[in-house]
Amino acid sequence: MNVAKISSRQFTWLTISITLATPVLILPEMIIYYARQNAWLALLLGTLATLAGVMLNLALARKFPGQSIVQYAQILLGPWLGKLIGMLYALAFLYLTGVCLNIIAQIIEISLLPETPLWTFILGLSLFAVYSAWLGIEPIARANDLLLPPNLLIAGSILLLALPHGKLYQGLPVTQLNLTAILKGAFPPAACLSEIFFILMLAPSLNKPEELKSATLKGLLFSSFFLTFVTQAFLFVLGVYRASIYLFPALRLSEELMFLDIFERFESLILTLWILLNALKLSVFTYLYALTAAQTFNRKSYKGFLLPALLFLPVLALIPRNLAEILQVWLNTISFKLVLPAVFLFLPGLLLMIAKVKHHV
Amino acid sequence: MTKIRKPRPLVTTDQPNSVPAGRQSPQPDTVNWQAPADPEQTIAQIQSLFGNSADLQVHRFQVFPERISCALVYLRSFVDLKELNQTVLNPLLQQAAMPKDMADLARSLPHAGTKEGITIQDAAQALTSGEVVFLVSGFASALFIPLKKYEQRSVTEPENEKVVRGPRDGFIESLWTNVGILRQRIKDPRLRLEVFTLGTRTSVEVCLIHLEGIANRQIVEEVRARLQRINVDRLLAVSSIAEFIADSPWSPLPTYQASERPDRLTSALLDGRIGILLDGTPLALIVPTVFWDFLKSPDDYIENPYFSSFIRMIRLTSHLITLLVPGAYVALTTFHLEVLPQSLAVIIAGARTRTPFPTAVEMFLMELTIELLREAGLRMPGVFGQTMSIVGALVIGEAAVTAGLIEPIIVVLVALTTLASFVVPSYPAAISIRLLRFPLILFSASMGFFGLFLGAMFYLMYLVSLRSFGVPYFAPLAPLFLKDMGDMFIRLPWWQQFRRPTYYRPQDDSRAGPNQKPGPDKEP
Repeated sequence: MNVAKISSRQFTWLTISITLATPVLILPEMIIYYARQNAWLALLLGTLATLAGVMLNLALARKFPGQSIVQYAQILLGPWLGKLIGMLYALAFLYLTGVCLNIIAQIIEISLLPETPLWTFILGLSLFAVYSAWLGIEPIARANDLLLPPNLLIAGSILLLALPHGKLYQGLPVTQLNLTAILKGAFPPAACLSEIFFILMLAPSLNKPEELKSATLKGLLFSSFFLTFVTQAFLFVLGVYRASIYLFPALRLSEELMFLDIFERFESLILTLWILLNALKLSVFTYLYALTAAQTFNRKSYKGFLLPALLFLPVLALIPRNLAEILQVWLNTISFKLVLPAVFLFLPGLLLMIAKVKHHV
Repeated sequence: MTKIRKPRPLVTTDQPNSVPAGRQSPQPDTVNWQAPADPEQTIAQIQSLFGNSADLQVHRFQVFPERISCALVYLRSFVDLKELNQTVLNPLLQQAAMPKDMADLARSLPHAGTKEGITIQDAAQALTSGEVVFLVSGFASALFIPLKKYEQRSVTEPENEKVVRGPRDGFIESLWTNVGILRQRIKDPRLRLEVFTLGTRTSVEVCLIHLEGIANRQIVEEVRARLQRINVDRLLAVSSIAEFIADSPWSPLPTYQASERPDRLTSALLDGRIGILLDGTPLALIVPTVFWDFLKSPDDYIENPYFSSFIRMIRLTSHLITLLVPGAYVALTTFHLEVLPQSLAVIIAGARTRTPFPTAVEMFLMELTIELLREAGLRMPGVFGQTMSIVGALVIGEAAVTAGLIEPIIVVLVALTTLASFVVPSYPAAISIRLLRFPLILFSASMGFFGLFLGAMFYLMYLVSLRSFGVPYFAPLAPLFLKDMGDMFIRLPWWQQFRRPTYYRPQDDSRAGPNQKPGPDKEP
């Protein structure tokens, strides 16, 4: 199969976009709710846990350079079990895309267009995701090159604008060793960041395979650093109580900002940037879903699998009825405790063990 | 200084369809006779080939001591008769001895470029390109003497690409004059010209120009191959060549650049790009092209770097204004009135109470009116200019607002977008952007800001997926080439631009030597 190539810098930037996209709006609230002022520690632990998982994935990817997990699963486990794993991965990508799509649509509806029906956003975004997946990973990576730097720049400057409102004492005490709370707070970031398992599929697209490790780690560390920055900023400006009860502290915070008395209500700007990043993430995941499916069934082109996605994505995204349900059931329970551990830790770990055993035999 | 780069494979989006055998081409009927030794027979064949066309002239005469009958065949419409009489007929009539063969005869004529041909087909081709066919009884070949003369205008300033302080010459309709203008600027023997004759009926000369050692060989080969693939009866404009050879032919924004300015072509060639000149059009086609080339003007390299950088930002902003402002206003007033500051919101709401139509409809009507005005202004005879401005300014601008049909803010915005669309230095890019804003108005009217950004994202995704002869269309921004940012949004001074743009993949990318910043010598 002719796989499009992207450079390792583009790979890093894609990693940043994907790992930051959804978490940056929903994660700080979850962390602060559990870990309170220890949010930074929770994030650190979460990042460390993800790092361990990523090393596992990288070790697996390094054993089979130029191949994706679907291809070497078929080598290691034989065609039938390998195809099963491929199907699991395709479903996982589709599921994560659907959940992300629903969250975006709900947030747009709540904060931007309360009277518009949900399906308009879902349909529009699915069309976009499928269209850009159709164009391929190269254009997506290029669009990411164009959008990520201004995105981070504007988000960073809005946060800097907010910092004068902050009070240092709201971040104190810096450590308060309540281990259960910290571990509970470390779980959401670890789970969110583990969406980085997509490198198992995207690794063959890298034009210099030897730079896979550095590219991935750079992206992951930058994301977790930026998340820490955002979370601590919320903590300082809003305080523990407000930061943990608001659903989207970022939007609340930007509502209160004002610049030169003319520019106010930055939340639409923040939301726009966030939607842009998420649209890219949706595109990448839709592309990877189609690629996984195509490699599972040994098809030459992945494009044939995009039409079912156009049907299933909106259907999947329309099932959850409200934000509470999607966050509690679909995200916290199914995504974080079932899908992500399976595709990020369990299956790669299994494959790595089998690879080691087979290698010794 | 020269560094040979390792060739990378050229990735293009171009996928030529193979031509089915049945519809090869609109070739005219070709017949290849050997030219007979008797001129009368040849003349009859030529005349039948031209269907006794009125401007086909035959002059019969007898020369040499042996009174051999000869004939000159030519098209009266574009042969220099005076020159023919003085430099061909006169010397022939005074010739004392019979020449051995045609080549011998050609040597005695004072015309460089005289050729010998033996087929009727060649003779017909020579006649249509303004040559005189000279036939001598007893010789089984003919001489083609180039005596073409046709009217051409002098070199003038390009009307549509003016600069304030740059050179004033522009390309004209004659290919070889244009090449001369170019040679005047690039005095380098490595300037390569290749001429193709394209168009089965118009048979027009197309010239492919590149600088050997700078232009990427793979791109040159790709352009050459695509030019040779063209099979059509006519080629009347450079853009019709472009439509045959450009990547992504359905793209609304052109993936090629056309310019009337020799200095622009020169600097493009020196950047490792490729020029295509077509005889009969005052435009040069430049490929490969990236989107940001449409934001650059030769002015930028003439004025000082601060002002050039500033004006580039203005151009980029005006692109965005043309594209986004109508949609954004519709989205604001239809869905997001709360985003506006209170005072502005009150003004808009006050104006909205008087007008009968939804904002989107008003916006469409007004934009269409402006397009009408624009087209009418272009086509109307000059004497009606006064009428035009009265109709435009008074009737449509003033009266429509006073009557309460259109809210005044919309008139202001439409005027702004119209103005902004003229700021873009490249006309084809500007008209595409003008078209692209209409779908965005629809998107915004139905889904607000979300629709606007969704539409813009669709555009962006499409544009970054384009390639022009292997060069990504949004380079050097997407994919990012940090090294080439010195000539993108800002224009660095010349002594800092050491490298040619790397995204055109030049074979030799060093442009200037280092350490040329002017300044006093340092004390030791």
